[in-house]
Amino acid sequence: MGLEMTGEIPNFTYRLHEAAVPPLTAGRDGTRHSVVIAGGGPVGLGLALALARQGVASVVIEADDTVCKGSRAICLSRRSLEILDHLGALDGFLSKGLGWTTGRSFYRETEVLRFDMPHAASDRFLPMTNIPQYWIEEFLVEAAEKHADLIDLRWQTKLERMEADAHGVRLDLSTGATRYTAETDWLVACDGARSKIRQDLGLRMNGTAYEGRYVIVDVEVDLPWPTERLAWFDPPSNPGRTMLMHRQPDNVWRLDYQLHDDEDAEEMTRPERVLPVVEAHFRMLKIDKPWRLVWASTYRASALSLDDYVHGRVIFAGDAAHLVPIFGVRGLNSGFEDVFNLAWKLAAVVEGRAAPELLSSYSRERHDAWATNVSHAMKSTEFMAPPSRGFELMRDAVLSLAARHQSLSTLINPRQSSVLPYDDTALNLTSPDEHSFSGPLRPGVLVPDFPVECGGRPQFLSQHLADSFTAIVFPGEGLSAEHAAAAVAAAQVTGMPIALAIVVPRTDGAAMGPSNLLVDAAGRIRKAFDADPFAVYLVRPDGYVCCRWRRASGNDIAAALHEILGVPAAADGIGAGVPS
Amino acid sequence: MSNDTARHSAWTETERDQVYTELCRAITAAGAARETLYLARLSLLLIEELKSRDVAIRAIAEAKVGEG
Repeated sequence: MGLEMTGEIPNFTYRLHEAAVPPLTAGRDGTRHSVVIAGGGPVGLGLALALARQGVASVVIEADDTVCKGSRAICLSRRSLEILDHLGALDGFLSKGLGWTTGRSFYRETEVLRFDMPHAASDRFLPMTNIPQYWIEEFLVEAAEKHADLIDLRWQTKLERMEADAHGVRLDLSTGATRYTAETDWLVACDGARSKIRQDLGLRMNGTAYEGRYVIVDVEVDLPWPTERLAWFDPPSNPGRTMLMHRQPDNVWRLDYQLHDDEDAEEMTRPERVLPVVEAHFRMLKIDKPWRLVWASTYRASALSLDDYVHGRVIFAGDAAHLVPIFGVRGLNSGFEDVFNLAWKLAAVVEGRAAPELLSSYSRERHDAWATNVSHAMKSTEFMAPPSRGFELMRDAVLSLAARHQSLSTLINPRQSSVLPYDDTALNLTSPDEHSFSGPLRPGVLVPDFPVECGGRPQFLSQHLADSFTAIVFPGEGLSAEHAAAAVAAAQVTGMPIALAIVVPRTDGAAMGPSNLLVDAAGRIRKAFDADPFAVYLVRPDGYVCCRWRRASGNDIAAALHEILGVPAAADGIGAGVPS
Repeated sequence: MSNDTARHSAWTETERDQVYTELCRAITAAGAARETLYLARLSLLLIEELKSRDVAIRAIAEAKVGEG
């Protein structure tokens, strides 16, 4: 990114934030911090919010005085909305964002693919939601401002130098003419694709620096069209190009197109080079409304990652840790997944409830997710922007046949971002009962969402799975909600909070049950969990299954928690007569 | 034909993807001068695997350029 031109953005006002300098003692920030986050973009702000939900304070260092200049990442996955809900920031996203489920692709002028992403009427969120990044950041800043007790957001603050040792990191910061040092136990680098921290530590990213370059353009125009993903291959308006078009809020439309190898990126983002491309495209679409250019920039697609996201006391997240190609919207969405994976682990380590080794599972799980994301994204990229003659020839063959040979259209499908299981992590535990379960909800899988009724009101299961570990319990005859609560209370010996969600087919008598009694009237949860009465699922604070049992005592759950957190059971006296 | 049914039901989107990618790479590897010959040879081999005059004739007609 980088080269860009910006016009006035419709319906959005940039708030300019004052520089923030803490009280200094001889050029030093007097407080030693637990966590400093470098970068106040969506990933850094998301992490600060996620840590605040865990009760952990952080300082966010942001060089700029406001949110990002252009629309940048515009497409959030359903999973990102679930995470934003857990961060307490959902409302703005729902009222401003435009949800969508479908897409259409054209070859020249013929429609060759129409896809509909999996979703059901009972789903809480649509599979995709379009919202420009400046709104994403603004809503996260607003949410962070409500947590001023735990989030110290330092605008106009630049990281000049850093020095890490085994116990923490010393930072040289500058705010205008003021320079000062600050110390922190942990530094999280959320400073983007060109991470200064990554470069200062001399860390190399591995993978494929794929040379695809794209122009991304925002245009303001009032079109009465639905929100869907539109793609044109080799359109008559711009022969040889692949054009993508997405609706954003406030009558802004995004156009993406790839640059040819011989085109200069800087030259091609000049208005006089962008306007003819848009003009031709709009003429082809018979758009006769007035329109104007809002923003143009370039994007370089790479599939690169650090091998490890944890380097002593420095942790990497989002684009600072890994890059994915543009197609399939895995960039910012995987950044939010990083944050939600990392926050509870870092909080547990900071608060002394877990061994620092827990953080290596963050690195392992998210690196595996990156590798799978890249393999999916590369498939899309190879089709959207063929890297060699064979891919180009075959793509043209597929496109020219797909209208009459529907089965071939699966090759055109853009394979949008989806949630990936963590199959290879030390946090997946195999109980003696594991083999007896059927169904997909094995350890490492994200618990899918289901409608539930709670306290007489319609809610969703996902709303009950956050902030702490949760034991999902399916009571049976002789195991009442009270018994389950007692068992879970007994499991709390690790110091790690554990919540209880009791799934029942109906509430007996009382219409208003306790807040953790979830009515699964249709039996969908019981079926998906393959849960006979007494079954117990232990779910991580980020919503993934750790372990499942046909029957479990408080001792079983506590032992699992000890293993996950890497703290010896004896230290908490679990062997010493905790009732089961 | 039960054999055909079994063969087709095992043909997943992932497998189609994998074979497609393999073919793209093979065409690139053949090089500009020999890609046509490569595709002709591939067509012959696939027709031999098909062992169906009708299916082959239909595909030959469908593949005609300009009628997609």
